[in-house]
Amino acid sequence: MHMIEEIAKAKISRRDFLKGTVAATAAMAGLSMAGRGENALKAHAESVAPVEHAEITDIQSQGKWVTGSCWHNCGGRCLNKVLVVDGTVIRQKTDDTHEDSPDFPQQRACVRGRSQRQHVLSPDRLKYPMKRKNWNPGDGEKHPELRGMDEWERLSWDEAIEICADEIHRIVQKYGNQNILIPYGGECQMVLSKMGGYRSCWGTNSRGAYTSTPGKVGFWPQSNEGINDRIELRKSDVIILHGCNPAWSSAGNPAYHLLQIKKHNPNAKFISIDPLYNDSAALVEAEWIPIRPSTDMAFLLGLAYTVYKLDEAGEGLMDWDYLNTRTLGFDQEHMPTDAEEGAHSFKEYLLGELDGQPKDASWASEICGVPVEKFEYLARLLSKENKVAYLTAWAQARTHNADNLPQMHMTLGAMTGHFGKSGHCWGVSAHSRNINGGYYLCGSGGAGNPSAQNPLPNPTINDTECWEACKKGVAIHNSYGAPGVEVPIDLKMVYWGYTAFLNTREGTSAGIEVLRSMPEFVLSHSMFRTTNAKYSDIVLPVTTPWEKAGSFLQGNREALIMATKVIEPIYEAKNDQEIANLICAKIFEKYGEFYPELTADPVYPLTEEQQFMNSACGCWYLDENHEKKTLISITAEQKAAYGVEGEDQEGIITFDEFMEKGLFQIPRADGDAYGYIAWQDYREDVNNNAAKGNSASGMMEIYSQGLKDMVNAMKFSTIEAYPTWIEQEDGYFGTFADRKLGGEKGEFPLQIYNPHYLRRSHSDFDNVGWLREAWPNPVFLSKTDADAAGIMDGDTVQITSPHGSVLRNACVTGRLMPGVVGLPHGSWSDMDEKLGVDRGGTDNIICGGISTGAGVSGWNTGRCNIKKFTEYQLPADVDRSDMQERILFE
Amino acid sequence: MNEERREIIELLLVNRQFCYSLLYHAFGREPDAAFMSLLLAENTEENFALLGGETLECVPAFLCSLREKAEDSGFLDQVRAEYMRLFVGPDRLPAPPWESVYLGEDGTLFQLSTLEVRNCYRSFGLLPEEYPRVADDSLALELGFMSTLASWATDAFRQNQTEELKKYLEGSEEFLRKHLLRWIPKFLERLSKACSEGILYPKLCRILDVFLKKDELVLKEILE
Repeated sequence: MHMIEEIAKAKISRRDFLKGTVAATAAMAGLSMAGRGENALKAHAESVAPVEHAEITDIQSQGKWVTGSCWHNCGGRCLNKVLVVDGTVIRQKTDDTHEDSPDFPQQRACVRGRSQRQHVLSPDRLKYPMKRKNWNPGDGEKHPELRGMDEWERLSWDEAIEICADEIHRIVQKYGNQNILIPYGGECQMVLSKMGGYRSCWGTNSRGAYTSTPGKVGFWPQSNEGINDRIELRKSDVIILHGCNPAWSSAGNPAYHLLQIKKHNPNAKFISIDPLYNDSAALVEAEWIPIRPSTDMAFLLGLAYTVYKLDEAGEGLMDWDYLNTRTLGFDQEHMPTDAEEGAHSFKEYLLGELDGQPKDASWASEICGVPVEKFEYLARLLSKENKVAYLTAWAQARTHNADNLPQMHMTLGAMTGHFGKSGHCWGVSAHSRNINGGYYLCGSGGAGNPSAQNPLPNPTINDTECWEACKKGVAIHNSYGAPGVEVPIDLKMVYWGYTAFLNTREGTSAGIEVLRSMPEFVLSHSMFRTTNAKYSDIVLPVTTPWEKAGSFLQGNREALIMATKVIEPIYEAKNDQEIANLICAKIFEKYGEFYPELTADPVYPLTEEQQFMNSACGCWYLDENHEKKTLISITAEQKAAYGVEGEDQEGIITFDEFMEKGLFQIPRADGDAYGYIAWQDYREDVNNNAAKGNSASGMMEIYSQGLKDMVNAMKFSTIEAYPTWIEQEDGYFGTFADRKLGGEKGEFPLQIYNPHYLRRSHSDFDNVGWLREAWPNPVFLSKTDADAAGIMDGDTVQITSPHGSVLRNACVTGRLMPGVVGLPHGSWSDMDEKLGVDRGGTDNIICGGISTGAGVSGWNTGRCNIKKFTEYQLPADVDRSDMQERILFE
Repeated sequence: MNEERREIIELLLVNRQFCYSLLYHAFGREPDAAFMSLLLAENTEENFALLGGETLECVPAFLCSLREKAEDSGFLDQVRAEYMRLFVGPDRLPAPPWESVYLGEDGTLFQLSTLEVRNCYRSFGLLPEEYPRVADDSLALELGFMSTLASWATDAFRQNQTEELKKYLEGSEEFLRKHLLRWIPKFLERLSKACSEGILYPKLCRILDVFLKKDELVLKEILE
């Protein structure tokens, strides 16, 4: 009561007050909310009685389970279902379409997939087109030095598209297409492909030396069909995991498949050769043999030498029949016909006949750190008589000067004959085929989109060279084995599409330096303020696959997932294709006469729905006779509903059923039609052309003229035609002063490598709070090294390499080999501008652009020093905000 | 109802209509000159003062210092930048202005609270203009809703539509209790921590917090 009473007593003129307030309210109501529809309410046709949402069971009955895409580049594809009520995602679940069993496993999501809701619906999603405040289009001031520190302004889509069109046109005309960089990202590339082209990047990404080498030496395809399938793998007695950790690198079912080997074969021997006693090794209680990163070539040479010598001594470890009839170049008696004059064989190098250094165990041990006595032990385990599954992965080939490493694995595998027989295999177990090799048993059709054709001659720069080349003004164009040609670059524009390039390629520090000085315009399509977006001038918000009509997803060979639209695009986010269409349309409208390739037709003519239906129509599976058959039954009406013309088609699952389940999976069992033994056809009939690799000879080439010629023509560094040990600039030798093994340690006394980490799929998911909490992303230090540096568990550590400096909190562990530092891959950069250190612990601040061999990105070749950081304690990532530097800047 | 009482109730209704409209526009779009001049007008102090001097005593000092700062040529730029940084992006928002972030289990948008808030809007024949692309439980939309109901309540009062008036006031009181009053204190805490040097929004948010608590009392009193 007292408010009314108090006002009654107050000495105010109620009449005047009322009049004044009414006038002020009217003025307030007159303020424009134009262009801010997200904050305005509208009258709704009918008044609806409120529905109580107190009980989750009620929600379930009101909602619909929809399959939401889990689209990240982890190698897995798992079933992710979301309960949608009136456009709102209430909860998530995973595969419950069938009973789970080892032979017919559910496609269950990992921690990341189960956090997909937090990812897509994060308040951090970019919602509107934004422009950096001190960047001005046209001839206006650009202030490139403020990139990453500036304030932002909001643009309408019309304004944003107009500015982008004007700037792209201006820069093409003023500076030429060769100075516009679009490293990756199809939709952006489509725009410039119609305007004379663009510079792009190429690189070896996850696969490292497995990108180019296998195709030359006849060890292709790797990894897709390099190892036996998961059921066949259960027949192996010795399982060697050499740098293979599916529990962290291929979450989902692969680690479960690994465990099935142990379950089916309790006496199987598991060995893990790795710098870290990793979770996969722990899972199967493997014997751990620690090895220094980036020294695997020396280790394998020492092992090959030991195998050879024990065999020579009469132990019968080698499969001479396989070596002599299925490979070329092991010895002078079996050289390929295209070998250059005076060519040496692998054996001459191995035995030290060329350099006086036999590649024996003590030589190898000094480099790789594996104790000498382990070589004979391992050599005997590798005997051709044992059923050995030697499972390696790409990580050790993501090193510098590693071009012959895949060839070395092939060589040792051939020497011991572990190819093409039940229970035996030797190859890459990674990504989508981790612990489950073999060709795909089903798949989807194409969406029917055009692809960008770049008209610029010699357009690409290798990832490792990109930022340094921009600084120098010249790059070597040598895409995927093409001979190197020098091309000039004067960087004027960067256009980021679906890539986290600045964060995930070497030399982030150099990249930031380039972006803060050179380009006049940096444009980014993005879902979040990623590192790319942070250093941009205009960011355009894009939709996630949850906001698109639908798609098909495939990881392992047995399962195909149909994902459909979960929610409408949130806020003002647009599909990347639509953005490309809008920019092209604007350029055509304003500057069409300059670009004859541009027309009034959209560059992406198909709707999302048409693309989805096209993919559905083309879905296939292999029947028991391995004949490719149509998978989905779709009626002409269903096709028409998605804007696609066509007749009824007959498959083995209806469109509606597939959509409802979200999953098609071929059941597997031992002895079924889908078992896979890698290289079986090749072993059984060497004259079977279809079974041959694609080396020049069709054979496994331990001496490969093709590999040597290709790599050496690329103009980065040189190799031999057979596997040899090559010292790396940032490798183990580089940790010593004067690069002398066993001598005094240098400025960067430790090795550093970048294990994949379950918080993220590369850089995706790094901003999800739950995952930040569950996976704190420390730096892993061995107890020995931490003690020597006076670092305790949890202390903030500054890690410095020749290329940059980062902060992380320490996880001190006995599971890591002393002398080695483990910095998880993919964390988003967060520079402390004042101190010049990266609080995010970005791996590519530590890894610099060093170009070797076939342009292999060498993230696992690194060196560093560590010290306790005393300026401040780094907060846990889950509590860390990226706001600080702008406040400092002000 | 006696004449004086009626007059005071009208005053309170009009007053809350103004306050909600001001707060809605304050959080609903980046500040421009027109908004700033309305915010800095003399009546703003009086309108907030009507609800009792003690709790809203920070308003005059705040407006006074703002009026001084507003003389600077860069002032508008500064407060616009503050708005962008706090509520728009593209950088990580330090205190995201959505109810679900504070009351939900995982800090995301489009959750149960979004549906509940949408149902409140629907029951009064309203929906977000951009439904379903935007989360209904944003600060601006919730204040827009309260502002709309406040304006309808005034109209109903003037037209002697007692039932309608009761519906709007009860709806407002329930929405305050179930939504705004539950999350604004948490939002204020996070915003103040993240943006202690802010010129405009941390203070506005404090005023919002106090005002909402006062408004609950006003509504209860009128409904009695």
